[in-house]
Amino acid sequence: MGIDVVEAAQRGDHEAFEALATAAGDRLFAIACLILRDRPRAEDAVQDALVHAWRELPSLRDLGRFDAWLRRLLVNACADQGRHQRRWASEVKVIHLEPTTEDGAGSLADRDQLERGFRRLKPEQRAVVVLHFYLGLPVPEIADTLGIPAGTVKSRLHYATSTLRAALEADAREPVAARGRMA
Amino acid sequence: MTEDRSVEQRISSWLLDEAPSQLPDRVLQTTFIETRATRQARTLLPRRSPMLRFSLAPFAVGAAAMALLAVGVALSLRPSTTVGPPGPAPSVSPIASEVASPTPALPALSLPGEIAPALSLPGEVAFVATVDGNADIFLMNADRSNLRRLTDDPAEDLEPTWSADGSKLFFTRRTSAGDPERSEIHVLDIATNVETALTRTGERAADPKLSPDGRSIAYEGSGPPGVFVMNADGSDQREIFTFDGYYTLLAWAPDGVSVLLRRESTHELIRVDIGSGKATTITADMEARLGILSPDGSKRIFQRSTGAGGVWVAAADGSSPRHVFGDWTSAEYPIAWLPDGAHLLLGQADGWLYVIPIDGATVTLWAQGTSAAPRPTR
Repeated sequence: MGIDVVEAAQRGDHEAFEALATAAGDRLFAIACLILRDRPRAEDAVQDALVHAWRELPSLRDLGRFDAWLRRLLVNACADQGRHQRRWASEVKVIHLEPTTEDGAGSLADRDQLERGFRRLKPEQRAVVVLHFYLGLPVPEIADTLGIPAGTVKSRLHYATSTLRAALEADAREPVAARGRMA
Repeated sequence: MTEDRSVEQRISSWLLDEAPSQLPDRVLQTTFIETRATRQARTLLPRRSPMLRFSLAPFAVGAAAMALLAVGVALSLRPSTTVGPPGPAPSVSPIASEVASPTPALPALSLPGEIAPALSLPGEVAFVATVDGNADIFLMNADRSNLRRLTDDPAEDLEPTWSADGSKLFFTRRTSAGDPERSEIHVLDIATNVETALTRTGERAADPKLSPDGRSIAYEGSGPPGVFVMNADGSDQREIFTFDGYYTLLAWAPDGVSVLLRRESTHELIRVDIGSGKATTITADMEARLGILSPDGSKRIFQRSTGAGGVWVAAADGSSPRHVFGDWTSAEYPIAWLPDGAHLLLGQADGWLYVIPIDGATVTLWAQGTSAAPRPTR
């Protein structure tokens, strides 16, 4: 989507903004789902971010940074969703879309262990993991996207990766069937 | 488990597999109903041309270039300081067999400290633990008995540090971890259980560090971001050093008139004089002399950023350094003396605190948590 569309949206063109939002929607939803591990709250986070984007778009100075700016709004919206429900860590629903095969993305054991490790992370740590390992953003770009120091990104990545590594290495203490995986 | 795939690959594959492919149409429809009923903010700022942007922000451009250069230098000199997928976690390997499990899975609602037999250690320790998804500060005897909750607030309570007499606990209360981060420094009177906000910045005031004489607090603040100092009662707040890059406030220097920072882009240690604000880079051989003094004042512990890395112990003057534990060089983990002066509490990236004797003979899980702050007994 070109800068001219962003500029039109910035000047109040609803159709231009809706084109931008439609183009970005699927990717934003994927990011929010991965961070929050909860579809309804991910939908709320995307909606909050887009409404915020519409309202604050006139304050965006560098139109070329629209995508990064929108990602930042989404991550903040996810953090707000995380804070609104203090007990999210113990009540989170597992998103499971399609069964995987052993020659696919990973084993069922991996998925269970990563899910458990991921639940221990805070939203801001999850955001760094998703931006880095899902979107493939390098550390400086994540720092720019989130408006935090690169050192903070690195320390969050380091902590999160260590947590996930430990989860992968830990012996499961409960049977898989007891964890309530939801389709 | 597929043993030959790296952790990073497995995380990436898992995320790709878990990501949904499509945002439900109704979400966009609802969003557009709301945006069409919402006025945009009226502050349409003038956009800067590329030439104007360059002319207006030479310092920002320079800083960015310096940061990239520094990262490049750091990468070329220190392969372990990676930008991108991080390397392996700092190891607890010296006697790994004596650590039951690096990350035992506590039930979600368990309080910390319920998973191991008591240790014969004197004193009390404040620490941060996450219970029900929220970080609060707890107090527990070093022998793991008598667990008490000190704070219970919907915000995150972090970074506890004691007054010199152990009667007050300073900490950071973070209400927003997003952008902008919002936090203030509070103090809790243990006897009366009264909390008082020492800062009211509306921005970020965090990571309080009490001076050796107990009279001043150094902390990271905003407006502009940098190191601030205030009296222990919250008065006379002033900035002494403005960040020109990414820094972390580590501690007061033993001299009590300067603080130690780490420049994150290069992992250099910096000493900043409180009075003048002058910054000086610290060489690796000074790390021992700037370590944390033991309760009896005879020894220091410190973490080496070069060579063998990990935790070291030395005499109070920095002489006779001896390796205690670990091998990391690019990280700085929370570490503290226990009141007996013979054991350390070390926080690790797995979210657990470990007890380590300074002879390094054994490593014992202490509790799930971080930022341990042993309570002074004097």
